[in-house]
Amino acid sequence: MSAEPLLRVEDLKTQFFTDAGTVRAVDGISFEVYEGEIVGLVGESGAGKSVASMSLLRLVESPGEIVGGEITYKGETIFGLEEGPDGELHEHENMLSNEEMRTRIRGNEIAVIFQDPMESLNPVFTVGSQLREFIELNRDLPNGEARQEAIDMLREVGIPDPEERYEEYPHQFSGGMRQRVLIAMALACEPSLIIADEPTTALDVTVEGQIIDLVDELQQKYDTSFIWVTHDMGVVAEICDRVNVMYLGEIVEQAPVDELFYDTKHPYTDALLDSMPRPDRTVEELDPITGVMPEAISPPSGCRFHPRCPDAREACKRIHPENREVARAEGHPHRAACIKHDVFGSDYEESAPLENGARGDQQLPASAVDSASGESERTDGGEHNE
Amino acid sequence: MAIGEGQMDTDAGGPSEDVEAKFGWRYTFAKVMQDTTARWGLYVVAVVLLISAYTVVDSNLSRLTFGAMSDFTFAETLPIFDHPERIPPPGQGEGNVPPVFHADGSMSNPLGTDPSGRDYFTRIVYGAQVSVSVGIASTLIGFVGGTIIGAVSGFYGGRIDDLLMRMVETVYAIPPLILIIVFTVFVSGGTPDITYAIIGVGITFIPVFARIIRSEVLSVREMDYIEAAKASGVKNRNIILRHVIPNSFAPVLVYATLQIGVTILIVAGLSFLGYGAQPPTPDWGQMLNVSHGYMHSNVWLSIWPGLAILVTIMGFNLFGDGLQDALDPRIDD
Repeated sequence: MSAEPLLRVEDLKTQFFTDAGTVRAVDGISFEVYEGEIVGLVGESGAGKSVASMSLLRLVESPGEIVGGEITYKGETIFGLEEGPDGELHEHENMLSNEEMRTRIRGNEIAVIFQDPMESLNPVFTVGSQLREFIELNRDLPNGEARQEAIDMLREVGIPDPEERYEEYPHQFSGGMRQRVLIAMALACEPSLIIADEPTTALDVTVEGQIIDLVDELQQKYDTSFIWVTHDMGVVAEICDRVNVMYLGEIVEQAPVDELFYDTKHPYTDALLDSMPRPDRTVEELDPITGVMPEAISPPSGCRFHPRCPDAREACKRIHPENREVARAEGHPHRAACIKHDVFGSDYEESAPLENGARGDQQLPASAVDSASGESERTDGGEHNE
Repeated sequence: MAIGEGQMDTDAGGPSEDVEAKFGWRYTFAKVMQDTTARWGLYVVAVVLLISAYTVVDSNLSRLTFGAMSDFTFAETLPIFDHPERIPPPGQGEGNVPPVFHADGSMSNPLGTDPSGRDYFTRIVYGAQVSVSVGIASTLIGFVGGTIIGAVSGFYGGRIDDLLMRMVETVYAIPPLILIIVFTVFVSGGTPDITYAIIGVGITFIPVFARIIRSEVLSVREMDYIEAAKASGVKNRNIILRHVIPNSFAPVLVYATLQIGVTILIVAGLSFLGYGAQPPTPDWGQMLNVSHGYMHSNVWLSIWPGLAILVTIMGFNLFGDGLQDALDPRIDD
């Protein structure tokens, strides 16, 4: 695609400096969001999705810090580091100041919809006054008009009797209705990009469907771009145009949505898809990913997924693959970070398969599987240090 | 057509009555009234507040009517009231008259008179004004100061938190009465007055309020709506004022009601020691100060202001306790 992307993230690194060590929550991710696109950010809990999305607004709280990479939005530098004359890294001189971020970017240009609609509205003020405050804050409107605009927005997101509901408190709204209010808030200032951080996770499936339909309609009407953070592959299939799959702070696969589902290139994505409950399969037939995701504080050597990967081989313990283009579809690259693909030119084919319990028949009891994967993790760490 | 119209949430419906009933002033009030002791506390508080409100209105009204220097009160036209401060000319009023139920008492001075011959009942009634305004003003100073410091401290954390909390703890470490007396004498330059006592007491209360609100803020600041406000570009100052403080309020409010009683007691003590209200202002503590010299000849002079302090403080404490229970969702009838 030739057009300049709306948002470009390059090699973003966000780390948390804790007493136990440095947690590399986001470890060098790159992706783009084009105008009018819904881009998925998918992964298990703890993969770094939320930290990544908060980094885009520079809202990472201490002890967390963005330590590297570049974020460009509409040609402006949200975050950037450059090497100064003394060899030290300095913040890019064109980087937006905190004040500019607050007044121009947050809310106005990039808005956020949070996961839990129960917690995202201030319980002591009416829904209407919160929406109005938000509109007044980001747009120059006289008093009466902000109120009217707020009521119009409530109507727009499908809240019945908006005039009456305007005066009500958040606890008088159901979960789905509150999520609609949050969407109204996000849309109120007509931002170009909305970050939706698991907006439907806390809702019933029926309400989830309605919210997704609503977002889809509104997205077409306003031509807003979305970054849709979720762990639900079903939602991804329904709504996203392109998908980034995250594992342990890294993007392991990046592709247009159909391509990702029909021509999966990374074993982790495969595993995610296999672990998704489907009506045509019983619980016994589900194929969950073995083990738990390792801590980002001491990631496994080589490919970070290898202790849980069914396709892992010896080479995977040594080689840490970057995201490389393995195919092209719909004008977008299909990138994957797995050395089984030829473009990596590794000795994957020749190396011996790893016995990590993730392979095939699932005959090991769950506890044995866990300890086995835990074991291999530790040995890897040891080998790596030698 | 508006997008999404026609599709209704399955669980949309109107506001849930149950949820609504659990919040709001009306519910809290009803719950306080259910509790017998809290109800009586509320009655006492209401009576004391009404009396002080009346005396404030009366003195201001007479100044408006008769000029700034007027010390006339409308209440003194009533048979049971006299002027609270004016000492009767020699020969007209007798000092140390015992209360009405005593053999030498009379209905015109139901609680007797003080050594200067002023009606004691009037002075007790007017004493409510000083006690209540002092109680509320001092508590307010502690409340506002403590809330701001605690909210800023808890919200920002880190160095700001350390700095503010260490300052607050320094004040906390000094015994309050000594701090207040030193403050009063130092700031007033040797002529103590009730105003300095109010400010001094208020300052000593800041630490407690600051610590309570800070601990609340520490949990409130993790809520999603705070994060949402940040993500929509709200200034930190507005986040604190509109989102943090209103949600950390309830426990401090309860504490403040209880604190009013404590304040009244402390200021009465200060007046007794001579650092608070000065004669001829009718103040319960200061009246105790005068009357303790007459303990053997006329014990009633000490008993009436003592009773007034006791009842008022008990009223505030019982009401505060009841309010605490009413605001605590874990306590159910």
